[in-house]
Parts: sequence; structure tokens; C-alpha cells
Amino acid sequence: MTLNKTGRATLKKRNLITLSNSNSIISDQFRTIRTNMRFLAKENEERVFLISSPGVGEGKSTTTANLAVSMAQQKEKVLLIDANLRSPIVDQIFKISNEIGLTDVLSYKKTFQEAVHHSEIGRLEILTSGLPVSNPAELLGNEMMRELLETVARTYDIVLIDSPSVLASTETRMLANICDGVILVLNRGKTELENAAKARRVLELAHANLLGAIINKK
Amino acid sequence: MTKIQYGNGSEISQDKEINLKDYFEVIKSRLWIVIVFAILTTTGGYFYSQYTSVPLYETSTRIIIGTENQDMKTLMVMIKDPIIMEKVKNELNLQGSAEGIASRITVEQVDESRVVRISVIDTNPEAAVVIANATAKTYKSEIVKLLNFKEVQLLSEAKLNPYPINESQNKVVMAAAIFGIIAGVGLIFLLDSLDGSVKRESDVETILGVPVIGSVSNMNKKKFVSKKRKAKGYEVRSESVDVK
Repeated sequence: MTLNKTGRATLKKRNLITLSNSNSIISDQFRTIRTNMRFLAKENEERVFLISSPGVGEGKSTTTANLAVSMAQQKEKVLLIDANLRSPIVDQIFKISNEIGLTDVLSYKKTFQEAVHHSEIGRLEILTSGLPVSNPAELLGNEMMRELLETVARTYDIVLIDSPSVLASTETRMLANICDGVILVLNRGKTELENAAKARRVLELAHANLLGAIINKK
Repeated sequence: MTKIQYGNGSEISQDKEINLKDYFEVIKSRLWIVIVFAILTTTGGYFYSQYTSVPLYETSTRIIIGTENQDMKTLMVMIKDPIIMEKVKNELNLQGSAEGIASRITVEQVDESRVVRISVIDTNPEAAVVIANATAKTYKSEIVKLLNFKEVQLLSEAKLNPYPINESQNKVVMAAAIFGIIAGVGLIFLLDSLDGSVKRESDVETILGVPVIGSVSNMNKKKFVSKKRKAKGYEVRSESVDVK
């Protein structure tokens, strides 16, 4: 509650188009994705979505952040979790502090309520990654993560998790397993079709529920 | 073409069907390659033609050979004979062989008449005039000694022609430009066939087995300001559709 005041004025960052230019074409595209996700999720009451991509640098975090803002603008109670413990970026996109975050919650240092940031964008709340740790895979794979997701799924309308890339790190597979649905972000002209197929196989092995793909155009 | 095997055994093979629209899209996406190639080869061709082409000048003199057709051929061939050429060469102190000079001389009969034109091509317009006139003169005097033929008259002297005859070097430049365009297009298709990245939504859907729920344009400035100043109340309208 207290930390969210830092950097309120600088919230309008270039990457957050849905916030800074809510009438732009791109914001419209995010509204479309938001609507489609609702249709996909409605059937099974899915709430916890993992957003990932086969490789690195394909636009996961930017997409996730904009999607979260777009959903929050529709008066939904949204939680955005930065589970990319290796190179967190959500705190930079929203210009908020990353001193307390997911790692503190998972290592029982803080409670979820203490760690979460309440943004002023609708009812969007953000859980940053927290300070870097040496064992991200173990932290995300422990039982606390599953419990955390079960808890937040009850209190939020939708939970979006920004994660490392599927093929580059193992923790994404564990996260994919405990989420309701996985959405892959692919970069047009950059993501190799072969890597997309690999990512699909990896997610199938992890018994993840792959819901759909978002294509990021170059 | 390329075939990629996927987990569920399905395979994607690129259609061999001719789809002009696809080709057009492929070229359009990398059009800069064609432009760069065309510019490079055109400038290359231009400089090549500038540095390698030597302007050639042609001039001609006319003589009248007073004989009937059967002898005409022999007499015309005699003009370029090494005996005559050697004399011309010595007279003018020219470099090279007698055959070399002969190769720059063309002898032709004008319209079945007794008039014979001796054309000379040289890199120097004055040298062409001198060679043409010297050839005609030498021929006239030598043919008397060789064949005892006296019916040769000098009709008109060669005149200085200051304009080069091979001015149309544009051909090289044009050929270079066309080559550049073709090479550029070829390279585009090569790059395209090597590029296995995501391009079409249908490919993604086949590979992942899930729908594409949306696409996001490039977040450059041009796109996100385009609708900025429009309808402020727009957002409110979208808010009214609430499910929860």
C-alpha cells in the first residue's frame, strides 16, 4: 500500500500504450485479445493465466502489462505477477519499486498482502518479482507458489503471470503446470516456427493447458 | 519445399501453388534489398562504362573504281591487302601491324555502283581521317604497279567527324540495373526460403493447435498516435459491456 506511491507521476511509459494511448489501434488490439481471452476462459472458469513465449525478447512482459491494464480498464480486479525472477521487467514498465515481491512471499518473509502493489489503474494490482535470488526454479516450484495461486484465484477476477521463456528456463514448465491456462506470445518474423513447435511439446509434457497465441508484429 | 515434423505427427508443407499475392508480399517485406542492389549495380555499371569505354570515331573516303562487277570484288579486297597496309603504315609511322590497321578499315561498295567507300574507325578522329585518305591515295598508286589498273579516281576526301560512334553506353548501365533488380529479387526469395519464422496466423494455429487470440502491431510512434485525438467518449462506450 505504501510503496505504490513511488513513481506515480512517471507511470506513462512508452511501453504501456493501453494506458497512455487508450484510443490507439494497439489498445484496440489488446481489447480484442482481452475479449477473446474471456471467451476462452469462460468455459472452465479459468482465472490464472501464464504468458510466455518460446524464446527471449519476443514481447512477453510488454504484452502482459498492456493486457493487464486493458483488463483493469474494464473494471476487473486484475493481478499481475512478475514470475520472471531472472530478468524482471514489470517493475520497470510500471515504474514501481521491486524491493519486496514474489520472492519474499515464496520464502515466507512477507505475506502476499504486504508485497502486492495497488496501482491507480482501475483495480490492477501488481506483484513484482522481488530481489533476485539464486534458486528461482526451486522457489517457483515449491508448494507455496501453488498455494499462492490458489489464494489469488479466489480474490481476483483474473491473474496474469509474466514468465521467462519456455525453452530457456525450467521454471516456466512448473508454472505452466499449476496455471489454468498458458498463452504463448510469438514474434512475427523472429520466433522460429520450429521453436514454437518445441514450446508446444514442452508444454504438453508439463501437462499445461495451452489456450492460444498472441502474435507480436514486428 | 521445407517440411517440419511436429509432435502430433502432422506436418506443414508449403504450398507449391502459385500465389502471386504471396510473392508480392514477400518482395514487399524486403523491398529495400532490391532497391539497394539496383542502386549498387547501376552505379557500378555506370562507373564501369565510364572507365572502360573509349570513344571511337569513324570517317570515310570514297573512290571510284572504273570496272565491271566481276573485277570489282578483287579490286575491293586489294584495298585491305597487307601490301597496301604496310605502305600506309610506313607512310604515317603508325604503331601495330598491317593487319591491325586493316581490321579498322571497312570497304564497301555503294549501291552496286562503281563507288567504293573506305571507312576507318579510330580512337582519334584526326587519325581516322589521315588513315582513310592515305589508304585511298596509296591504293590508287599501288594498284597500278600491282595489277596495272589505272581506273581509280579519288571521289571525296575523308572529313573530320568529331562525334564518337559508340556513344550509347546506356546499355551497360541498363543491363546493370536490370541485373541488380533480378539479383535483389532472387536474394529476397532465398532469404525467405531460409527464414522459418512466424509469418502467418494459420501456420501458428497448425503448429500450436490453438487459436491465435490476437495480434499486436509494432509499438512505434506512428501507430499509437494515429487515433489519439479522436472521440474521448470512446472508452466509456467500451466500459458499458461488463460481464461480471
